[in-house]
This record gives sequence, structure tokens and C-alpha cells, in this order.
Amino acid sequence: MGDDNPKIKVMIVDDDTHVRIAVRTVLDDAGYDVVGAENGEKCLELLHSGFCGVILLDIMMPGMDGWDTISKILEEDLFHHIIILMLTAKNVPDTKMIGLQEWVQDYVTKPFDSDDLVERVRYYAGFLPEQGDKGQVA
Amino acid sequence: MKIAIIGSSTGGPHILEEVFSQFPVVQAAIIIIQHLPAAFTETFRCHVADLTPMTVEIAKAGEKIAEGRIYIAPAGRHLILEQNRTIHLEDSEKLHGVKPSIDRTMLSLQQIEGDRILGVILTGMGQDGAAGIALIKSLGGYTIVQDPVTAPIRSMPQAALDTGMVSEILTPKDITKALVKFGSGHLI
Repeated sequence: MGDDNPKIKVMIVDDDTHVRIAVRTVLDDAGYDVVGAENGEKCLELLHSGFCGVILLDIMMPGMDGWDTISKILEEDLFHHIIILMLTAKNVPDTKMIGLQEWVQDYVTKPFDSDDLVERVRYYAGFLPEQGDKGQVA
Repeated sequence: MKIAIIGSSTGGPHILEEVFSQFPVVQAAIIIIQHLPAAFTETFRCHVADLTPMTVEIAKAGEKIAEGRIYIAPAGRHLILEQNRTIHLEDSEKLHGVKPSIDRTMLSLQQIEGDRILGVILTGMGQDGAAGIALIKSLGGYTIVQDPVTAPIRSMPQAALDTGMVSEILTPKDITKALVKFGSGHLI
């Protein structure tokens, strides 16, 4: 991708360094601009700094978990030009997800299949306004 | 009239891409209730419209549904079908933590002579759609749930299955075939 076609940004939010490295490696190779966040607080900080793109969000993290992070994103009105996919070891989400369903577009379990992850990021990145003619995201 | 209601939540947009990939024009009114933020409704409509020659539109209040068209429920409103025909958009409380709620649409259906109704529940968290599936079955309709093994989140299809009112458990590709059969009058 050249300057006229900037890379789509992806944020991996996970307290496990190995997961962040694995995701970064897979998505870097697929042409995405990947940034890591080790917890929900760092995710919010990056959003306040203007991050736009796909967010891969772990559920089980010390402090704010994934659901708390989404609640905070909504509370602080930061849900702009982002799309959230959960990337988690939990096969079955807990009931904290009820009420947040509409804000989570997909649910990927770890360990993840690289091709499947790239395909889902590709598909959901199509909901972002950077994708041009697919409509506007407020 | 043939009316199909498809209820879908987290993981649903990607599954629906599989369901509607190269989907032909079918003689049924297909209503999709997908839990989504309002900002994504039009983008989602475009994604579905890119897959099929059927007309795909965001449901509008007061509109009468017609066969051969796909209606996307707009975010932030419950979609109710009055007399199984006219779209009413209701800004009432969330149900099961969501608006639009799949149950709110399915539970608005009535037994009307000559109508054939299909209910489909795809991936998602919680139990939205389970009560609606039970109603559709009790009205003589046909009910399908996505095979939970193929669902990113199994709880919505499982809740529907637990009602004991499900006609078939199918993969996304087989749901495509069932919708086509429904449109041609060969399912029910």
C-alpha cells in the first residue's frame, strides 16, 4: 500500500505479550498497521489520541476487563470510526456482555487461526469510513 | 405472502455474508434483525446488497413489505409488523439488552390465512429470538437455527433450540438453501 492508500489500523488489546506479538506478526504480514495495548486503560488512551480502525479486544485482563473497556469507550463517547472484535480464550462469553452485544461485531477465540483472523479483520474493516464508498460511520 | 425473519447478533454480519453470497432473487420478504450500532446500518445494508440481486433496503416506518425484497431493521428501533404487512418502528425499551430485538419482531407476527412464515436464529449472546421462534412454530411456521458448532457465539441458537420448537439445525450454507426453498414454496 502506498501513501495514497494508507494502511488500515488495528489495535490489539491484550495483557499477554505473546498474543500481542502473534497478532502483530500475522496482521503486519497481511498489510495492516498494528498497534498494541497491554490493557483497557492504554486502549482508551490510544482512542483519546485519535486511533481509528479495528480493535481486537481481550476479555480477561487485570483491572478493566474487555466489557468494562467497552462500557468506558461508550461512556467517554469514543465509539467513532472503530469496530470492535473480541479476541479471547473464553469459549462462552459471560453475562456481562448482555447490553453490549450491538457494540461487538465478532468473537474470535484463542488460539486463533491466522487465516481466519485476517479474513475477519478484512471483512469488518469494510465497515470503516476509510473503505471509501461503503457508507459513512458517524 | 412468504415472510422470513432472520435474527442475528455478534458474529452475524460475517455469517450473513456467507448466507447471502450469490443469493438469487427469492419470492419472499426477508427481514434481517442484526444487532448493530446505528452508524453501521447503512454499511451493513451495502454489504448485503453487494451479494445479491434482491433489493436490499433499510426498513421504513409505514412501508408495506413485499416479496423479493430484503429489509434491514434500523438500529435503535424495534421493528414490528402490523398484520404481518406494515412496518412499524417503535422507540420503546430495549428487550434482552438490545434494540432492535429479534423477539419484538417475531412476537408481532400473527396467524393470517395464506401467510407462510420462516424464522431463523444465527450466532449471538443471550436469548433474543428464542420466544419468537417458539411463536413462529406454534403459528405453523418453519424454524431454523444455525448449528451452534458453526456459530462464533452459541448461546442465542442454543436458547432457541432449548425451546424444543426448532424444525432444523443447519450450517450457514444450508440456511441459504432453505431460504431459496422457502421462496419457491418447497419448504412449507
